[in-house]
Amino acid sequence: MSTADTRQGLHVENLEVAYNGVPAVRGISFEVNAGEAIGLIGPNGAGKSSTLLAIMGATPRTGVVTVHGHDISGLAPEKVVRTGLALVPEGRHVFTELSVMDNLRLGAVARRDKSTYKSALEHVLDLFPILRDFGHRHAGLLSGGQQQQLAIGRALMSDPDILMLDEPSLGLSPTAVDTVFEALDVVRKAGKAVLIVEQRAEFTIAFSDRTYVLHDGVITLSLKPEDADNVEVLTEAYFG
Amino acid sequence: MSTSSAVDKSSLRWRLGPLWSLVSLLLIVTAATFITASFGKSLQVQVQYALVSLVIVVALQIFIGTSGVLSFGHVAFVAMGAWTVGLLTIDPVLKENLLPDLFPFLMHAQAPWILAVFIGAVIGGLLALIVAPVLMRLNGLQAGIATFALLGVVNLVLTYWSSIGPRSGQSMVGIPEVLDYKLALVFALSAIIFAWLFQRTRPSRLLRAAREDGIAAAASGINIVTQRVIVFAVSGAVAGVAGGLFALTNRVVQSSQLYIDLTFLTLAMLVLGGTLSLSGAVVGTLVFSAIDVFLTNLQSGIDIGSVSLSIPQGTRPIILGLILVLMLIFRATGLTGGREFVWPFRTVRPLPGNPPTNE
Repeated sequence: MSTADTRQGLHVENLEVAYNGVPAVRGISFEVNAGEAIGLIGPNGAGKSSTLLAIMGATPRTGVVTVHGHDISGLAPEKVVRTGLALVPEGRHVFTELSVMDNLRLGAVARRDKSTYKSALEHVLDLFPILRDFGHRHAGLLSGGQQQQLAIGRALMSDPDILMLDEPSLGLSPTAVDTVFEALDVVRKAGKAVLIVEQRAEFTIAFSDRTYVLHDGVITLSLKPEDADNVEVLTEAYFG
Repeated sequence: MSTSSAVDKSSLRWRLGPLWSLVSLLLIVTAATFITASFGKSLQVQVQYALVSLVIVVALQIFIGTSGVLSFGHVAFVAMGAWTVGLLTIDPVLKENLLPDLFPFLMHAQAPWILAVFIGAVIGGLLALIVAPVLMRLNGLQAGIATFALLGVVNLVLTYWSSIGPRSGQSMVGIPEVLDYKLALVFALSAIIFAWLFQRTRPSRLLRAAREDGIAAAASGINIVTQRVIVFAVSGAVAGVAGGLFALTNRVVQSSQLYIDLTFLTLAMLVLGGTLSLSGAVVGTLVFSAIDVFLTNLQSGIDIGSVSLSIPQGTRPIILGLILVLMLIFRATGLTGGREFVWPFRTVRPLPGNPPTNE
């Protein structure tokens, strides 16, 4: 990407991922701008998680991925985080043997501006009050919903401009899912870009400003929030 | 940082918990040393060897326990320390006769023993730092084999390069008798305190997090290789100190003593106690050494009243091996289960500021 590229947010162009020669993502393009939430839905094996891992630099890929106009190709995941992109991995992956506070501290390792650490921590604890109450508890003792809040809080501690989440509702109770998405709404309204990969279609379509349907590694549909109740559209999305 | 009042009430206990884990280890090692030493000169010597082993095992634990990566190469850093102390403390006149091929600067180099131990630590740490950027990219079996290869290379160089040591098959003798079991105890306690403090540093904490969950660590922006390199170098320096102590205890240094036997002996001690905690390193070394000393004495016969007990020569390594096998089958996480001691007699994971699990 040329240095003259002044676009903000995340831009993905012609992204391709293959495992042992078998294509998982076949040349998809999309963008996520500041203050908007983008959903990526599709059946199992559609290439959703591969897309996120490829953007993070955790799996080999071709195509161009830019953050604020800067090409991040070839960067290791720990360097990608420092460009302002954060990933909440599938299955939460909190450090179960560490306390809640230590998890949050580790999230701040990649902060570009260390001087705002304290206010960022306060912000995360205000967003997820349960983390304040359980600050010294082992993260492994938290419920699934609380761990998801912690995983999001930890990602926010790196002060990302773009927050990517892989199946944040997986295994959570309906109330816990509500809590998580309410927080994501706050994050979006604070001007951050949010990219959500989900299996739960209706929920994601209703929440996101745009939702792309991924099928066999290709984007087959682009949906708006009002499509959330349209059964035909959803059937089309999942069964082609 | 604000925390709820419920958290503040018990935070003192969380802070004191890890401190107790340190104090208890220091007390156990001190007590074990003096009690055993009170039984006579021969046991004092054996205690001194055990304390040297303890420093090696602590060095191993700093790296293996923190990173979760196996190292068969740490005795290479021990050898660096032993060689350094040997070369710097043997009288130059003696060196001219015993080590005739030495580089001239090594022939004349001399240092007080304590400075020599320190230089040995620096050299051990430097060697670790030089090889780490390559080795620390490896995991699992590859890491084990690569570190073992390092040990092999270092051993060959020390065995055959007579410009930095004795001619092949010979040994360095004439190392001064300056270390007794009490001084060795001071070093062992210092190593434990150092390891305990190091557990609280940023590289150690980051690497423990990465050990637990590599995906989460990378997503959090932790560069695992960098943290491993730092911890490997620090642990190499501690192994270097242990090497110096070995030279001053054994007073004869030969490359064959700093090779596979010592590697597996010290790894067995760590595995017996539990690799994931400092308590494991200490308990493993003490228990293993106690059994070892007991079996050694039993081989030469122990008199209890009018009865004389003895076991055939060569039984000792068989029994030690058997104990280790049983340990791996029935309690693979070691005697301590990878946990640290916490007052009153509970154990928690070796991380600062963490709550006991039942609160």
